[in-house]
Amino acid sequence: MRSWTTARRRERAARDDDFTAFVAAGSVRLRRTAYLMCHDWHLAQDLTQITLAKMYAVWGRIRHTANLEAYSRRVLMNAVFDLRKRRSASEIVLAELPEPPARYPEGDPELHVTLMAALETLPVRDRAVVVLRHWEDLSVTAVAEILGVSPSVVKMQNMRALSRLRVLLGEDFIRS
Amino acid sequence: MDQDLRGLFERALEDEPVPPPGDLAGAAMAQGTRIRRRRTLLAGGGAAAGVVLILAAVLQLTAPAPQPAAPMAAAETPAPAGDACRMPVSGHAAVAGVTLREDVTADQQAAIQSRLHADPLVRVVSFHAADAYTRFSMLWSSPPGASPAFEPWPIPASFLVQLVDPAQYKAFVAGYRGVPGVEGVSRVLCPDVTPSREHE
Repeated sequence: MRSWTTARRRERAARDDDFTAFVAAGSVRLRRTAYLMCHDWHLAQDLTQITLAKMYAVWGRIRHTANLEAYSRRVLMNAVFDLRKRRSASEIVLAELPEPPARYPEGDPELHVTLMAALETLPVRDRAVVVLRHWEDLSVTAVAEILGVSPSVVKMQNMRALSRLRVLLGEDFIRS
Repeated sequence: MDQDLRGLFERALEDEPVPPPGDLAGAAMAQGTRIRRRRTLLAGGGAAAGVVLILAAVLQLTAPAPQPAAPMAAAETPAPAGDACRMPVSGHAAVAGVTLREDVTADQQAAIQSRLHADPLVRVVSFHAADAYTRFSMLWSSPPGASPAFEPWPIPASFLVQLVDPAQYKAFVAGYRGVPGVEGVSRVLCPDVTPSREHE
C-alpha cells in the first residue's frame, strides 16, 4: 500500500504545481485590481494573498473550472466587501470629496489622482462595477456573474457610477 | 479631454511598487490549508451539535413522562468524552502530533526528541514508532487478533506531545516547521493514547 501514499503525495504535488503556476500567471493583475479597489498597495497585497489562500482552500474543487480568472475576481471582491463591512464601524466614510472639485484644466496631468479620489467616494459595489467593466474590460454579463447580481443591476450601477464620476471630474469627461 | 477610464487607470497604476519579496504562492498555500482545516473543524463541530440536538429531541420524544430537565441536561453535556477530546478553540490544541518523515535518520530523530524535551511549550512527550500499524490494526479489528482486510503500509513514526497551554499550539507548530526530519505537525483531537512518561 506504499504506492497509495506516494500516489497521493504525487497528486498533491501536481495540484500545488498547478496552483503555483496560477499564482505566477495571475497575481500581478489581481493585485492591480485590488489596488484600484482600495487605493493602497499594502492592502492590495494583503487582499491578493487572502484571495489566493481562499482559492487554495478549495483548489481541489475549482482547479479544473473553466474560468479561474473570473472566480478569483469574485473571491477578491468579496474580500474587499468583507473588509469594508468590518472597517465601517471604525471609519468615517466621506460621502463627498473634501473639496468640491472645480473644473479641471484640459489634459490635467494629475487627473488619474483625482479619479482615484473620486472612485473612493463611490459605493463599494459601484466601484467594483467600474473597475471590472473599465479596467478589466469584462462584459456586463461577466461582471454580473462575478458580483452575483443580474446584468440590469450592473448596467444601472455602471451608469450611476459613471455619471457621478462625470460630476466629480468635469462634464466632458468620459463620453460613453 | 477625451481620456478613457482605462488609460487613467493605467496611469494610476504607474506608481506600483515592487511586490514584497517572498513566496506568495507558498504563503497562500499555508494560509489556505489553515482555512480548510478550520472549515473542516467547524463542519465537524456543526455535525456534532446536530447529533446532540437530534439526541436531545429523541430523548424528549421517548421520555416516558414529560421531564424537561432530562433532555436539557443531555444537551448541556454534549460529548461523553475526556478532557482532551473536546472541540478546541480554533487554533488551539492540547495534544499535538509531530510526524516524522519516512526517511528520517536516527540523528535527526534524536535531535527532534531533545528539542521537544527542551521546549518550554511542551509538558510531556512520547514516541510512537513506525510500527503504529500494529496498534492501528489492534484498535480496529473487531475480534481481537483477527487479521484486517488490508495490507500493512508504513504509518510514519511520530512524537505525541502534550502542550503546556493549548493556546500556544500555533507557536509550537511554527517552531517545528522545516526542521529536518519533520514531515508536519498536526493537532490530535481525540488521542486514544495520551502522552505519558512511560513511553519516553
